[in-house]
Amino acid sequence: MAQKYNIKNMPREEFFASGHRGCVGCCLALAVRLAAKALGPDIIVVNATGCLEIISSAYPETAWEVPWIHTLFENTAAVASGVEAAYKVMKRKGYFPADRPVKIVAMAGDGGTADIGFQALSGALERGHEFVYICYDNEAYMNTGVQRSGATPYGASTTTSPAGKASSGQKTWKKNMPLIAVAHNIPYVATANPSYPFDLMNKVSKAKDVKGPAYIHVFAGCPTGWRSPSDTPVELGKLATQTGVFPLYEVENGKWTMKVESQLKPVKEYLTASQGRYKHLSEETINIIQDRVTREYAELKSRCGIV
Amino acid sequence: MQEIRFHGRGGQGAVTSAEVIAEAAIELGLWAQSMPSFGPERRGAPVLAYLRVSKEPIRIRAEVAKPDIVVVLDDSLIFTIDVASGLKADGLLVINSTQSEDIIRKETGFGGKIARIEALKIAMECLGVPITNTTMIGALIKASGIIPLEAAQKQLSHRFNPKLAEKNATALKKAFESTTIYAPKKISAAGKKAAAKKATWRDILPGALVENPGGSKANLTGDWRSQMPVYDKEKCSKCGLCYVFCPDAAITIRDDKYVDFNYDYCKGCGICAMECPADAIAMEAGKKKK
Ligand SMILES: Cc1ncc(C[n+]2csc(CCOP(=O)(O)OP(=O)(O)O)c2C)c(N)n1
Ligand code: SF4
Ligand code: SF4
Ligand code: SF4
Ligand SMILES: [Mg+2]
Repeated sequence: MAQKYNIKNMPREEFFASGHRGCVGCCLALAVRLAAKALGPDIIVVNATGCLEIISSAYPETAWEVPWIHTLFENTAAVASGVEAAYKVMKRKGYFPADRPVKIVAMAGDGGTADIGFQALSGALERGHEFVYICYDNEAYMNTGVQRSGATPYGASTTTSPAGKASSGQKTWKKNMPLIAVAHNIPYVATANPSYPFDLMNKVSKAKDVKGPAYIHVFAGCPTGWRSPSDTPVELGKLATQTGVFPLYEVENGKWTMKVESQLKPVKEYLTASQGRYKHLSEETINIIQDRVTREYAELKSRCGIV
Repeated sequence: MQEIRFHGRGGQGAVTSAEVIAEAAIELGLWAQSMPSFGPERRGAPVLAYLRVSKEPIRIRAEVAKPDIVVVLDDSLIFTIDVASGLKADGLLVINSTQSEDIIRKETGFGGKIARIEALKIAMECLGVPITNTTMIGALIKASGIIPLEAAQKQLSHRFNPKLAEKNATALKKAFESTTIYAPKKISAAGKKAAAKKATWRDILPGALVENPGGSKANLTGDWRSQMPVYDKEKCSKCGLCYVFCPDAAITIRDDKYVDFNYDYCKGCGICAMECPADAIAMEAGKKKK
């Protein structure tokens, strides 16, 4: 049964251990730590190359307290499909206790999901494997030093979308991965944010119970890549949701629900809150972003049947 | 040719130090090269940078294994890493430290010339941030004369805006003036650290299998810290939020609902202090409790 978590009942065990090599203040590590608590011990993590893999698996150490397999950058969902199929067969043939629960959980970054692992993911969702896919979105290729991805937001300065005299950062709009997942007609899609820790854990717990594919898109504050002080990413996460930049919603069997902000804050509050990647933005660019966010938020509300 | 290896932590500016000197040397008509050593470095984790300065063209393109000079930007490294590895006996160790000469010699096993500078203090005074790179350049120049002080100052004005350049130039000069030099001293070989043996591919299990779950706990990330959370139990409202938000699982909730900090792992991000609704956590500069 899906859990409703709070400070009292959240598991005290850590399945993503201390001593990992995430940067000081890395909220990808926080998101994974919280998700792992909600997933519990009976999982197998399939993890693409990227920050998460590097920070958790400095050979011969691992921060994982659960089985974990490292995949290439492009085939996380394919490997997860294979592991899931293998357990199905092993259970059927009696090589593994049929009543022992095992959930396959794929984890990959925004680059590994929206760009390079996209095809494998689409295939796995369409084939209907029973697994949870968590995309942790730090909005660029961070592990290799902050290159833009398809999920980098408009205006953000990265090493391959640098802000300068001739350019004002990323020229394209963030690819809407959760919506693409929804288009595969899978039973569960959600967005989550470690700044709202219990909401994140509840969604992960729900996803774990889904019979079929579940996709969760998690906001992951990255002080290094965003050029922010190390104590700010949780606050930035809250602002991202409060401004409508990263709304929190769920799509269960086609039914949309969301956490509505009664009064959206202006995106400017988020964009100008100690993030070096947005420091160059002009008033004009901020207005363009505001218009887009306002429109998309209204669209989301109407999908949720909120007028 | 002078070969130099820098040891620092991600974010402290070891790479910048090497670059600034290389650029200054090139402007002086010398030959120079600087390069960071790539690995899975993260803010706060140990990092390396290399520098070569020469009157002749430099043909070599490899890492510096037998340095003439080693520069250590963070002295917590001497307790965990063999910073003096390969350092020539008649070489020079430049170190940011508040430790005594004896402790530095004991931990590094180095008997040669040492230049010690309290760079963190100078950086905080002159720049207001714990970034010690320019300060260390001042100490290095004082002890080695590798380039003139003015040449380094000129580079800073290329690199930073006028206000920041001036602050950095002040730090540089102050460091130059307050570096302490210790002449070579005989030390017992017993003090030397055995260089840790690195695993090679032969030691790896098939499939790169890792057998000890949670083995990362052997990696004490507490020494990445440049500031530390200090807990005021009187103010704590026992809400548990600091525990929830710590990315490093370095906070635990006691039976009586107050919290404990595990300084073996706390990296000093300050998120707990930022999120604490009762203002019961304050961030203090430095790695350890004063
Ligand atoms: C096919 C392939 N191309 C490039 C790389 C190099 N590479 C490793 S991790 C990475 C970036 C990963 O970005 P993302 O998926 O967003 O994860 P993050 O590092 O941001 O957590 C890249 C480009 C690779 N490992 N494989
Ligand atoms: S680069 Fe960003 S996501 Fe990667 S470990 Fe550092 S803070 Fe975390
Ligand atoms: S400063 Fe606080 S939140 Fe950050 S690692 Fe230390 S205990 Fe955890
Ligand atoms: S967040 Fe603050 S008030 Fe809450 S338990 Fe931690 S120290 Fe106490
Ligand atoms: Mg990324």
